Amino acid sequence: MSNQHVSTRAPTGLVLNIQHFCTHDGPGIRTTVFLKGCSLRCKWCSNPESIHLKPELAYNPRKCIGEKECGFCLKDVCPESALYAVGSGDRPDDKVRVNWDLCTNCGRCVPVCPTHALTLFGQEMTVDQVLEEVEQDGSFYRESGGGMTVSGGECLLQADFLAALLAEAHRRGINTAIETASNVPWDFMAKVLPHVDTVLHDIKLTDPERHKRWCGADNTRIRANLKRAYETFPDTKFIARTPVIPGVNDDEEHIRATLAFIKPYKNVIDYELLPYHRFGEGKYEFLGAVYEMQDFTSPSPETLKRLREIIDEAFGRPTQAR
Amino acid sequence: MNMATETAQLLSAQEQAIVDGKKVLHGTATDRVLRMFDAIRSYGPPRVALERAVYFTESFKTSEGQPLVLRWAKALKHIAENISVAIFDDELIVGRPNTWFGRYTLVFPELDGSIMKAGAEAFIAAKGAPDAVTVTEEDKKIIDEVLFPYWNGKDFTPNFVKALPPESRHMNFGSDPENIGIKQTFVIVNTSTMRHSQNWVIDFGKMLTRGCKGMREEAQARLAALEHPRDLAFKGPFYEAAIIACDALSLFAKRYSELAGQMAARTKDARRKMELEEIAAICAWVPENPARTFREAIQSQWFTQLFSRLEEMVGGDINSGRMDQYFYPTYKRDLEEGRITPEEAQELFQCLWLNVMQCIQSQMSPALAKGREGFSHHETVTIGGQTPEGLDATNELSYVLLESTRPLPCSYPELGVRIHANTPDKFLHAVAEVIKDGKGSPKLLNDEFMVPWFMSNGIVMKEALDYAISGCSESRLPNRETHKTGNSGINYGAVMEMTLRDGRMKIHNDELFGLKTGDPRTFKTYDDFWNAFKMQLENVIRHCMIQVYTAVALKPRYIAAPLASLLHDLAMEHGRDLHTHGDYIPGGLDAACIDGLGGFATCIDSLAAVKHLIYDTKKLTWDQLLDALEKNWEGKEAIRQMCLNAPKYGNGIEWVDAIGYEIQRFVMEYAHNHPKPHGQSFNMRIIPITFHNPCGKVTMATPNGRPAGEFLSDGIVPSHGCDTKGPTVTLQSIARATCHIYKEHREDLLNMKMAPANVAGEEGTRRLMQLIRAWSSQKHAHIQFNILNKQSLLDAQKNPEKYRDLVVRVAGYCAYFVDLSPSQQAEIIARTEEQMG
Repeated sequence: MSNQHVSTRAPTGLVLNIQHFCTHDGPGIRTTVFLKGCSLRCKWCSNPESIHLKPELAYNPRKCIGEKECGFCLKDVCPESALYAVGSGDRPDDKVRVNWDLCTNCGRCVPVCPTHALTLFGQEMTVDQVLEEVEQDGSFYRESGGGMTVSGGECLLQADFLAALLAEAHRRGINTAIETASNVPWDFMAKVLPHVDTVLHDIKLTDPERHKRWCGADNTRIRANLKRAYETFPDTKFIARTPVIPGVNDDEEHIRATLAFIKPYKNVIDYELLPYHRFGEGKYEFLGAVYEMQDFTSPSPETLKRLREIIDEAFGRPTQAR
Repeated sequence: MNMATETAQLLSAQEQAIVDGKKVLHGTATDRVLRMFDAIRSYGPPRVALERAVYFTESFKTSEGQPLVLRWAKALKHIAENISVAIFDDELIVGRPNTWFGRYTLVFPELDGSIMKAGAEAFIAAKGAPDAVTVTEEDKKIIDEVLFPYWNGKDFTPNFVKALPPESRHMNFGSDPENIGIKQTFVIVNTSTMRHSQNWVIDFGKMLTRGCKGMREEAQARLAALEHPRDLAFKGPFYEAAIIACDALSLFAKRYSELAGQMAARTKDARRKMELEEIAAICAWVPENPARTFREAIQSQWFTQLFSRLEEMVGGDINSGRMDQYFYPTYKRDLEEGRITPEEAQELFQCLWLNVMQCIQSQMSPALAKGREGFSHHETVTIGGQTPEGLDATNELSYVLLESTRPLPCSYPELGVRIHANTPDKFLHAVAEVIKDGKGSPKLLNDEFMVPWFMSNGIVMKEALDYAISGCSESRLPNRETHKTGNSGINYGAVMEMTLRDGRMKIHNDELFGLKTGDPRTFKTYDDFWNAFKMQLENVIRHCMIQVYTAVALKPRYIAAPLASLLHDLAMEHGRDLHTHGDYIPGGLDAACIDGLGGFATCIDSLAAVKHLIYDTKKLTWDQLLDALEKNWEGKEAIRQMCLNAPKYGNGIEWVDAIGYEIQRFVMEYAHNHPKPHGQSFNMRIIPITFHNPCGKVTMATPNGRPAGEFLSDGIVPSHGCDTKGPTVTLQSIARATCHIYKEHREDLLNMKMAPANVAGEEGTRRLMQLIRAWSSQKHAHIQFNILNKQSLLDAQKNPEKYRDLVVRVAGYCAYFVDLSPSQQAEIIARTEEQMG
């Protein structure tokens, strides 16, 4: 991806996507900026394109119209000859294929593809460029008490850029939130959190061994970071969240252990459960990756209701209709 | 990219009712109301109601040569004396121009008698089609033997077509000299022949407080005071006509009173006897006298509205005005004195909605009917907004009225809510809940746009604050604006095609309709292309204006409206019929519009694609693009994909949105520089009704990737499915493409579609409220929502029986989905479904 329009002095971040009118990522109507790169490898990850901290080519064969109709990407575009078509013009499937072993994610094939079957995940952007797009929603923040949320991947991995982005957002009067799993060095958090109004942080599992098994790293650092963050930033709001995955963490034990962890801190204002949905499979295919675990299911409404009652009780509030 | 909430497959109240087989969507409706609703729905397609036309014609035969306004009043009286009166079981609010309990459509031979024969034949041939009107053999006989012979050549439509300068006539009606108005080219669209006037709001409050009696007395006093011979010559007949029109309306009501009395005497049912006696008493009192109770007020309003429909076909119908304001005094008094409960008021409102529901406006020209699919109706009821003092105007009745529209699966009334900066959250919350029912109602108009608009057109603030919503997305000042002719409309798709094809239209045998602006292959820069586009556009506007001038000059010779005029302060003061607006009624506002009838975004996206692909990135040559367009993309999929994936309006891309602004600015600047002789303006707006469908049918493939014949973009919104960044960015782009700098900019139509899951629960209601608040502060004029699942619409196409009561938002009106043609259904399904993260 080209950086040519980026000033060398401005810090840039690798942005995956900017999504408008988000309503589950903090208060009010929000714009969510997704940064690329993650420090965990959760087995149920539905955003495989967010994992690696580098631009990545994606190919959606359903959009490809084939060599005969098009074939622009096959004409001396790829320096590694990673693109090819098996069919000849008369055969029904003459769609392009990607040899992922050869592809270097240089992105040269992307601009020639008229159907956007070939796209590049990840774009270098400056703080100004991100905020220019974010501020399109300015009048909606005013009406709804919303603002910008930065998510990932693990947004804290790009701590310098993130801190600059959030500080500038604050300077422009935009409410800020981040979504994080907090598996980063404490320094990163210390740098970023002064510029955050609301921290939405995951507590995926409480047991270190199981955390390691399901998420690729144990949770010792995460727990230490969170405790320290709660204590160091008493005026910042924290909201704990668990992505509920049946058979992994849909048990009362996990909910109670999480509550025990967060309840001593007044600035952890809520604990939310996010039911797992299987949306990500297609995206694995587009990246040439194999979807390792395909048999996760969504939690039942009854399970969610039962678990949420425990949370509502702990927060001393009536059970909310959802 | 968050995990989705567990609300992915939610249904709106309307969809849920269909799935559950329930008759009531929300709340309750009385058995009486449900019985009447069922009876209307099972009557079948609307049928022509000819009595009005027959008695109108009878009277006209006897009054030739007299002043037109007087002839009109006499004809109304003749109708009132002779038209059948009928009261059906369960009715509480009575009065109808037909003799059956079901949908009807009136015909107006003074408008299109010459083409009526052919129109009736077309309807008979179309029997069984979703939008066909029933014309029986007997009806056909009356049309052929009574109406056509008298009106042939005497009616407005052919005389208008003949009066047009040859070039204007050709652009609109083609080269066939035999075509006197039944067929249109859709290069531009004439709608002045489809109605006596553009939509209208009567000052019903005046009738409720003064009655026919009060109005008659005023006319008599003004007549007696005339002294100048000129006034005696011109104003005398007007006041005389006003007096006769008051008599006619009163007489019509009295005949209902007598009928109800006779029926009461005959019936064995004690309860119905009491009801009929009450009806008899009420119709004996109103509209002749001021209404004393809420029920009398509703009956008086309905008689006035119904009778004004007999007077003239007003495009977009006779709108109901600010009902929560003018009904409030009697409602409040009845409530305080224990005469009524909110539940009873709801039932009376529903009786009124059922009366309105039976009246269908249709065109005898099938070409025009295509532009108003699903039996369009815009007799908008206005609630909310501000008082003339600038305070919030909502009251208890606003809520009662709002709730009364929820139970029945029907699109009546066409409800409009005025939103302003201080609309209370409580009211906005109630409005958002009703929008979530999924019937596409209510639509919203923005005081923050409308009030400044009226003021920039010379209206003082307290009057501007009292506007009523009217028609699709317009508004009216019932005592200030004059009648205006039907609009002429721009087919933006045709403008693009003529730019690409040196003024020619492919579907019309390559005939030259536009200017010869050159072969695009010779355009060195994007600006050359843009300039050619502007020349074609300017030419089209010029012809639209020529049409309007022609119609305005002609209409007062063919059309009058004594009833509408006598209820208008200025018309009454100056003794002038509202149709004489060409001569300027002092103090009046003549706000005639020229409409962009579809393809605004099609043009923006086409211009952007040409700029991006041919001039900026040079990915395509003109040869390649023009060849692909001529072949309708056949074998040119890669080029079509390039065009489809070029930058699109509605995604927050500033330079693309700016093309929209420049189109609007250019159009308005032309209008601004060519005002009408008395200095008033032509208003430019973008509003499709359903004309973007027939306009698309005549338009070849366009550089935005659209195939030939497909519908064009709708209203001011981005092309179908091309705005992909969610509703906030869509609204922001639209705001950026909107040009406010000229007073000529009038309301544009803004449709938004969402799945119910996006606004589920209390959280969703609040989100919708926030969206509406932001829409208001961005100064958009209008918005309306379809909150439905795409799957339901697809199911409805397959199982029309199951979904016969499914109501969808079409344009400035809602309709039964199954009443729409397949291509109009497809257009609604293709509209962008706004996503939320």
